[in-house]
Amino acid sequence: MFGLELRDLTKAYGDHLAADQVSLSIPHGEFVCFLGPSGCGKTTVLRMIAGLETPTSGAILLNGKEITNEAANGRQFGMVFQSLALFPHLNVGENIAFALRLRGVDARRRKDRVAELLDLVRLPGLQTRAISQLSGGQRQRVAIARALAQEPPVFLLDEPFSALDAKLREEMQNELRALQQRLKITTILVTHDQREAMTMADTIVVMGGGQIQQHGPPVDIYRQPANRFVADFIGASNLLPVEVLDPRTVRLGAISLRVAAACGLGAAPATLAIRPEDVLISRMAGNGDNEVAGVISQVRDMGAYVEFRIDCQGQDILGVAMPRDWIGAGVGETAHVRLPVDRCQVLAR
Amino acid sequence: MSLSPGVLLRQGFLALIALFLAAPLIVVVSVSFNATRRMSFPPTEFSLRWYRAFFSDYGWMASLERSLTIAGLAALVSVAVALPITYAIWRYQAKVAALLAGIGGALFLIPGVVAALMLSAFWGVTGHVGRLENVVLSHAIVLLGIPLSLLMVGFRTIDQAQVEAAYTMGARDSDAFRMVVRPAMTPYILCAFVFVFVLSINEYLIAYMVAGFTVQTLPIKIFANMRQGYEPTMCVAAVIFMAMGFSAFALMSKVADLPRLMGRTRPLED
Amino acid sequence: MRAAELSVQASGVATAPGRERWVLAGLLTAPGLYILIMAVVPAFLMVQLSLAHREVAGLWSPGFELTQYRQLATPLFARIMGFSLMLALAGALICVSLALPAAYFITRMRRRAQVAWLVFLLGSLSLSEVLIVFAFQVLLSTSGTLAGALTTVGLLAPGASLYPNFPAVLTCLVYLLLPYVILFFYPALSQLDPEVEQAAATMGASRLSTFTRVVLPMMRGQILTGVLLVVIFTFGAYLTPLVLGRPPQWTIAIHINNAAMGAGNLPLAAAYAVSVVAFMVALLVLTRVLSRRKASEA
Repeated sequence: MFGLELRDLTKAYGDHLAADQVSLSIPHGEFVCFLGPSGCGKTTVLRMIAGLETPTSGAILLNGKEITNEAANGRQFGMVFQSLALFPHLNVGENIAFALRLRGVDARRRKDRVAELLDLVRLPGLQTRAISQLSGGQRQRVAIARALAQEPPVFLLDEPFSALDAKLREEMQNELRALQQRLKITTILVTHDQREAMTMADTIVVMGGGQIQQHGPPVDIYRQPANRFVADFIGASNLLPVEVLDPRTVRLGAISLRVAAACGLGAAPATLAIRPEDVLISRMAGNGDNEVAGVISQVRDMGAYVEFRIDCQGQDILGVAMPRDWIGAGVGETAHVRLPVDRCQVLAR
Repeated sequence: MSLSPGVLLRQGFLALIALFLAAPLIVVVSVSFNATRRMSFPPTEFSLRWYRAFFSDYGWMASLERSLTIAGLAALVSVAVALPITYAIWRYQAKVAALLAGIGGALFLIPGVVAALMLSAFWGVTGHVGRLENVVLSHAIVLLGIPLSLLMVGFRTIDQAQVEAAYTMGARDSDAFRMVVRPAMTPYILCAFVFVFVLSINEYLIAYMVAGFTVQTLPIKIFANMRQGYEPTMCVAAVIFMAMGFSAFALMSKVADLPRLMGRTRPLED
Repeated sequence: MRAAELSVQASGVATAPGRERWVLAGLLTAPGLYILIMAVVPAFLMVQLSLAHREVAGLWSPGFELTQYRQLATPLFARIMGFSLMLALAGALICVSLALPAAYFITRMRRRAQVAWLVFLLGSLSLSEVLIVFAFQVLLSTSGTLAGALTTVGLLAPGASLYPNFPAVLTCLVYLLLPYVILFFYPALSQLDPEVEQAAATMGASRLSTFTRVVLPMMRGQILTGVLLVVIFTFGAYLTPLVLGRPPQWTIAIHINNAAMGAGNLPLAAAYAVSVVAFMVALLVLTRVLSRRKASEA
């Protein structure tokens, strides 16, 4: 196929499996985010793709051709490192021209290409600036330009924005996304920041314990987490211990709740997952199915929204309401929450 | 900062330390400019007489040249040995290299007289005695701990990711070394060289025990003269040493981050 | 998982293990041979020498006898070692108590002042022992400044000299060692987080009590090692006691040198040296045990 393919990619350090049979197809031109907590193996996978780490077993294919045993300097995938790894003894232009110099590109064409790349990352005219004189955001852009100089078949980024402050990070995310769309380059970004993954990726690959937990478009991952790990890691979730009674009914303590589907799960302990923004609250009872009464235990007005916790017969449920929907209740008051049937996901425990 | 008693106390303490360290040097320097043959301080009359005498004396000049040669070669050998060892530790985490570095470091820590005896016995057994190269190789091994630690500090300042970045841009091992590692290491290599050079030029006991009086280095000649009584040209020799040492380290502070080289890793603003 | 991440960092770029072995062989063969021949062989040679049989005229023949070590089991040797150790400990006490505050103050200076101090310390540390001893000789001699000044104020009889004696040896030794010890404390003290001291200050500690209660305890292991450094150096000191001291103040180094160069008894010198090294190793082990025990108490 046209693109990058990982087949049962495994990396073992002694007894520990940093990556455990990771298989994935990335079509040409797609933007993929590897997302997961620290130590989930996402960086290991990225480094194996770059050729900086030798897989214990498995294969990597580029456009159908196996490259598993090709060294990093043969693959020449452009990579932006977490530390950026800019060369402090070279200026901006020399950093960007590094790969071109290795290829023996002549000075004039190097100069043109550097200018072109600096325009691309919106730093025109900074060729002779020393790395130490750049701001954090400018360094980021230079690192991106440097990695793109060799027109790599695959563009890799390892937590590139983790050192930036929130505002700058968002700006860089938008820019990188726009750049990637323009160049149509296959891009893999590793991050632990789900917001970053959600805003940039065509496909999110959630990793945990060295394995791919789920992959798919961002909204699918958010709306239909495949398992408890994904539901817990992506966004805030209420994860309630339930017992499956039949494919459409579960029991939460003494309360029985209707759910969209609990298929494949027998009468076993399971987890009911529901997003806080799907939890509806009202003062009065009688607004429909799956209604539970409880006592408000916490209210936090965040300005843009109101966050509340409600204790329903020993179950702590977190909810979020828009200010105009907020019922104005205080801690200790009684309220009713409704868990909409189509928003209730039942997952294996 | 205001001049509180605490600050005054601190400044006073440091000033006393500085005075203690500087006093013998000041005396020697000023005596060297004295016109009379008699050692007297403060100098009565300024004169460059002894400097002229020193630089026109064949014996002194020969010793100076010999010392400079030994120091230059010893520094070269010692840095050339330390560089591959520290590179292997940094780049490959090689256990053998760590072992070699451990031996080099341990040698730096044994009492000078013991090292001198070991090496003099060694050269005695080889039957190759009283030669200049004996002093060179002996200085290089005894001082090896210095380039080992300074170069290690240097390598630690290079982010491994920089080398990896070079690989992802198509660099081979040799390209990465030439284009990334060497430029970053140049100041450290230079500093290690200067440091060994300065210490070698000042070393007495090993040179004396390894080559005896056949290879008369500057310290050996000064000491030999000392036993025969005071001679103002000795002060000139001493001043040359000081000038070389202090200017070498002042130069080092220009090319490298001296606080970092001496083991400070916490950032220090100007 | 942390360990695995670290090993990711450590393993660096993937290189075929076979190739790596060749690269390492290329890098390390020459330095390894040099260290083997110039450090390991001489060390073994010295041990062998200390067990060898002494022949006339500075010669020796290989053997396995304890003659030389038996010669060491005398009150004289014990006295020399005892004096060397006493001198070292006195020097260590003075050096550490001066160097610790000095290094502490220096690490808290601005960069320019710190660099100036480092250049000054490195410059004076690298000065030949010959020169220092010579300078002290000039400084302390009958016609020198200090003696002249002391004679003028009547503290010294005219024509009397300030050396050779024990204070002269000790002062010169402190002079030689002070820059070393200050520079030895420099890294650890410069690594101390100023916020730790600020935290102590917010809890009402004065600058002095911050130093004695926060900084000193954190430096305990370093101080012990610093003392060891002074001891090693003092045992190796040759010229200082020779020129500025009288025979009772001669350290082990002079006796080693006399045995080797003067009496031509290399086996005896080697036996001295091996005993000194054994003594150093014992001290090293002792400091390790002490600092570990202190650390586990804390």
